[in-house]
Amino acid sequence: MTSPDLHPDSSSSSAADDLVLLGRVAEGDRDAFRRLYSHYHRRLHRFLMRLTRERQLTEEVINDTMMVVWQHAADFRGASRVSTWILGIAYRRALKTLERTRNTNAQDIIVAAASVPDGALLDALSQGTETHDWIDSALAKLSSEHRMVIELAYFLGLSCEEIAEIVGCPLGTVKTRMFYGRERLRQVLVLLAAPRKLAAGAVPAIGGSAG
Amino acid sequence: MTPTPMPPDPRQCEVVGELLSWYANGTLGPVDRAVVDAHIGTCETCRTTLAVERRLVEGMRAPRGNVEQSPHAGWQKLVARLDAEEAAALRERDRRMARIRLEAA
Repeated sequence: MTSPDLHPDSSSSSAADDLVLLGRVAEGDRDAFRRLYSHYHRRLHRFLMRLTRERQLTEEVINDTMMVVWQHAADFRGASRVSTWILGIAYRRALKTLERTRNTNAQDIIVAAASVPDGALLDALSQGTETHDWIDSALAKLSSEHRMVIELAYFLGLSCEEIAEIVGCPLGTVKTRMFYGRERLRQVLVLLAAPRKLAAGAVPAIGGSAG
Repeated sequence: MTPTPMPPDPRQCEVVGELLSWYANGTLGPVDRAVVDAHIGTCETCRTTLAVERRLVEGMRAPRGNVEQSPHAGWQKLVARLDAEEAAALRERDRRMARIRLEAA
């Protein structure tokens, strides 16, 4: 199943455009490569910032990724969408870079049993303009595995099958990561909620860091 | 008289709960989508959970002014890298040609 190419900016590309551009890139067309680079820069930046959390590292991984695209465009056989192929390269490059530079951080923080009814969470998520900062802070507390699946599904709108291909694991693993990642995200949202956002008494204490 | 709706089956809530993220991001296949549609029609709990999922999707897709980056600087760096690699490849080719010419002479 395809997902929307959700790029609100005017440089967004369709899967068909991507394929045409990639074909030209395979022939060494630098102008086509520049256009493909522009189309993918924003989404790669956003995706990789979640993974690396460092702007400079993110830019390095974007260029490493696009270098691979330039060198291997002719090897693309169309088994997946161009976007899935490029995101998969970016994911693997980022993991490799992170392994080299530091520990990939991240186990989810241990959360004391935080049970807040979805209705209260829904009300809180519907308030004000700081919601995306709240969500970003909560995502930063998740393990990279959970964070990536949520980012790929919610922000990039990818299907379970596409995510399995990008992160290189079975469908069942993606489903499990999404299930637990979603649970953790809810719990951390509650932990980080400003007192006014959720009803008094709903916010438990942070238990500490998992090993 | 309107019949009283049956209370939702908790086992069905579990099945549907695993599908809601994919339903919210619009990538669920038609069969699973029909399962979710049928269930949320009668289950308020799962309907609320779905609304939370949708808020999360919206919140994550909302533009972030502080992370938007122009591709220009990155592209310039990549062009410099491509130029350097091409120049190195040309130098290597010239060296090989020179060696072949020497050996032939």
